[in-house]
Amino acid sequence: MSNQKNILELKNITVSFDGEKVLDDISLSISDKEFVTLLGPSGCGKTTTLRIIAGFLEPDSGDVFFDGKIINSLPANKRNVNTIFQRYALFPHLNVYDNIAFGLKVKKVPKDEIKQRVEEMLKLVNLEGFEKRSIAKLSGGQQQRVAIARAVINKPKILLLDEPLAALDLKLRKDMQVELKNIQRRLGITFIFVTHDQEEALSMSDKVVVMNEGKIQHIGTPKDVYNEPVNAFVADFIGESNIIDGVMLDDFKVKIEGVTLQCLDKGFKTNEAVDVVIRPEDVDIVHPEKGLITGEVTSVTFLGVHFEIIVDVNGFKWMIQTTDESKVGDKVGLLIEPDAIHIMKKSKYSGLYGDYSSFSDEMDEISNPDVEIEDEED
Amino acid sequence: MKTLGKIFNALIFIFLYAPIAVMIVFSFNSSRSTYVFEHFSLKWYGEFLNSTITITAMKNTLLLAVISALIATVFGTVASIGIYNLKSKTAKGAIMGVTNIPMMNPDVVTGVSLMLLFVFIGRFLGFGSSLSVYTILIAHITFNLPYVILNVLPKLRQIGNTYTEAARDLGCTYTKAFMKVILPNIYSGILSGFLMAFTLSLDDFVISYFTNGTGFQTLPLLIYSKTKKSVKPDIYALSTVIFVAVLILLILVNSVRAKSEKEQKSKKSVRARNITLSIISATVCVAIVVYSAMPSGKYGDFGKKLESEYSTSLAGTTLNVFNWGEYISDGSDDTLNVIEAFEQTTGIEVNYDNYDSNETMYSKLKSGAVAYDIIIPSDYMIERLKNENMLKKLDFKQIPNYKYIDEQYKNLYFDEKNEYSVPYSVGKTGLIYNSKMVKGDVNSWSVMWDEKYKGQVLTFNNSRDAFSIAQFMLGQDVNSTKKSDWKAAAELLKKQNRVLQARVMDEIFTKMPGNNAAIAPYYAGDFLTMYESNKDLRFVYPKEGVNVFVDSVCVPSNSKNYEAAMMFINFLLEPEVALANAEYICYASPHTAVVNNDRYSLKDNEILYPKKKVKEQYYHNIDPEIRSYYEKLWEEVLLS
Repeated sequence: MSNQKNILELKNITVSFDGEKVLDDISLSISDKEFVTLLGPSGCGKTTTLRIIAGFLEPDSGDVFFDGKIINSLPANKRNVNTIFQRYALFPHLNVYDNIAFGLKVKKVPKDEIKQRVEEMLKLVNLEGFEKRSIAKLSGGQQQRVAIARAVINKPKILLLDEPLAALDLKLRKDMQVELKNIQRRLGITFIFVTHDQEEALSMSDKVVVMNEGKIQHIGTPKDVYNEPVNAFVADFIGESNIIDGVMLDDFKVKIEGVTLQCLDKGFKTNEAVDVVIRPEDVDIVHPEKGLITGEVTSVTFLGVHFEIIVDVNGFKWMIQTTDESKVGDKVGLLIEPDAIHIMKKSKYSGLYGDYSSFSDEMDEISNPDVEIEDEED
Repeated sequence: MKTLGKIFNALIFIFLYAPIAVMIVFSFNSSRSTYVFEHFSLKWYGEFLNSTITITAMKNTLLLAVISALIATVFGTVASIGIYNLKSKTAKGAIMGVTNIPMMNPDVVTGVSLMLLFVFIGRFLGFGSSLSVYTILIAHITFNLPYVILNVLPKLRQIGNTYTEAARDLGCTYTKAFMKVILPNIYSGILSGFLMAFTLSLDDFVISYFTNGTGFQTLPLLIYSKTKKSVKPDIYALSTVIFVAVLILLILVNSVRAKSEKEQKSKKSVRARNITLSIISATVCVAIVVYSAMPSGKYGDFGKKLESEYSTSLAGTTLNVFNWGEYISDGSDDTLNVIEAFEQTTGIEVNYDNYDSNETMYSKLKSGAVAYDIIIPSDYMIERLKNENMLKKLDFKQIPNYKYIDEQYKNLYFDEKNEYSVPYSVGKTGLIYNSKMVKGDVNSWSVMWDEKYKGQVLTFNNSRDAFSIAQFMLGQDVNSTKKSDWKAAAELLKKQNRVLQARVMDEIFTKMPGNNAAIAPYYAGDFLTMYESNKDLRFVYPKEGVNVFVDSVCVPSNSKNYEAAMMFINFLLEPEVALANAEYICYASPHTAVVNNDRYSLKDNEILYPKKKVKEQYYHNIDPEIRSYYEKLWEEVLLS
């Protein structure tokens, strides 16, 4: 794990606020020039992790290594790391130029050099001619670019981005995703990107770190975490999943809903209870007689690219995405190819996710008076 | 509904601003009258500008306001940052609650408790007089603090923690982050906090009253102490100046606030505005400090003549004088400025403070928190102070001018051996009536019970003076120790209630000259003031008898500069000084060289110096049991 290329390493980091563990034994290595995304629902500890790296927070236990050196208590202003804050935190009393030049002025860089570097930055973020503009007169997207320029001008080894796109509307968000990725490639800086948007995470990252309840659930490439999620939480959080109780009869043989299916997984004990993940787009709707499993259509939603169809199989509701239309009340058969099946070991999240009989978890949460919705900033 | 709302708004504005408008108008009146506007004049403005006492008080007030507001702003800002960064929400709530208490508290509570604290600590540390200019400064800082916090804290909340973090992320230390990012963004809050603190300090009376030491009188204190005599229009002029000053400050505060709330507006203009504002404030502050620190320039040449007679051996020492408001010639209207003349002659610096009643003076003295060298109490109070060992014997060898005191004012009951006091001025009560409204000759108090003048009669709104009238009617001793006497007097007073229009003190100065009442008892000297604006008024000493009082100069037992006090007393008795004071105060003078001086404009005044013998009685100090008995009777009279 700890080879020379790791620019940053977190080892067994634990942080508690008011006796509540916010980060529970987090370990993570990040290589130079990597685009890493911390992904998870609000309150999962991703922002706290970022703040530890930035130096705004000291871990209760565990170590932070930067270029191989422990920097646990090195103050933020002495770290070669810069942050793009959630709501940008641009200084309202300074104009665009002074905001971008702020870090260099603090470091007492000669004026000529500051001027030249600010101009370069404005070019990089496509804001030439905005030098004198006041911050209050910028749009959200423009503020975003100023924030990037203000951070990047300091030539940090690592750039931390705390949900930087959350405040933008959908189309602008997509454009900025591409632009951020380009900037990262061009400057060759390590990006650590925090988001709760799994699509954003999948499309931009070299490495995705899925977090929940202060723990890292899964570290892997976007493809890994999508195709081979380690548990029900990851499977559900990344994309849509049907997660069904199953029993591993033997290598490559799993039994769900009373039907034995072929799969590509092995290495489980005989008759081990497992979670079976089947992505909605991997299920074909066929005539009931041709299907291995049968059920009744309870809902059909047209989404443009495909239909989203909910099928009731013995009380468990499957989500299926298909271009073939069905009608509510139709009896249908479900066809599943062996490579569409992913088997996971049982975990504490088993049974909590992957059933479409109710609303999404988020919807459940806001409707539940016992659950306090946490602030985005932890 | 809309018009109704407008009318309502208009009414509110009228009620709020009509009094101020009237005051401003009358500050430009050429006469003293408060109901007839004669013609436009800046006379009263000139008068208050020429009065050293007023100007000193104004300087003190401004200096105190600037310094206390500055200190409160620094402390308040630091405190706000501390409170904002507190982790524990309960601690935060508790501290905010505690911070707000001084704001909710009545000023009286704040003032009294601060005074007690200062006196306690002063005694503890062994200071003779614990109240000083520093205690009033501390008090002002104390009550200003919450207002600064209240202005700064919301600003901090508004900008949140992220700016600090962003600045630290970009390489700033905590201090640098505060200076470069936080300060510019909470600046408007700090500025409006400062201006608010300044304004509040400027017009505070109650807290200043309790925490003030010797020799540092502020304007509100000065104005209040002037109630012994009528309030002169120079106070209107002064109040107008203060009102305009405060108005300008408030407009500045509001414009800062309005600006900072309109965040979408160009930051640059806000910044420019803030900078301009702070430059203005700084300039004003510097100007005030420089101006206040400057010695007042006007010196009377009178002092020069006396320089040879007075030694300057005590030059550089300080003399603390505690006197009634408007009870010494102060240089207005080209009169002699007594205090300044004394300072110039002797080189002694005089701290001059005022009180509004014997009782106020007594309680200040009794608290032991202040040490004065000169006081001027009335007869009965001298008796009381003497009995309580609060007076020092005078050294008459050092007061050769005592020879000028009229024999009839020597060996008086309160100082039979002439040891403790030197008479300063003499007054009598009497009956004032309006000759247009009252027919026939009036020579008896009984007219105050006459049904013919129902609703036209005023009387004193203080128990002792009101009782005395009934006691004269009944032929009693005004210092009777028999409860039955007081009871009988109270019964007589109750009978008077049906003809009375009101019980008044100062209001008489508008009611009588304004023909709003026909009959009223009051002090002779003050009648002369009223007569100036209404020539129909008449004055008599009723045959049953009147009260006579002598205010005399004394030295409290805890005086720190006894020699200077002797010098001051002798100086007050200099014929020229005594003349100036007699002219200014308008009461009778016990000074033979004044009474016989042809330049004395009141020399032959029949009212101050009646040819016929007036039947008169002094008030004595009444023992507490009788006093509380008649005070109880007085309440019955008021309620019957």
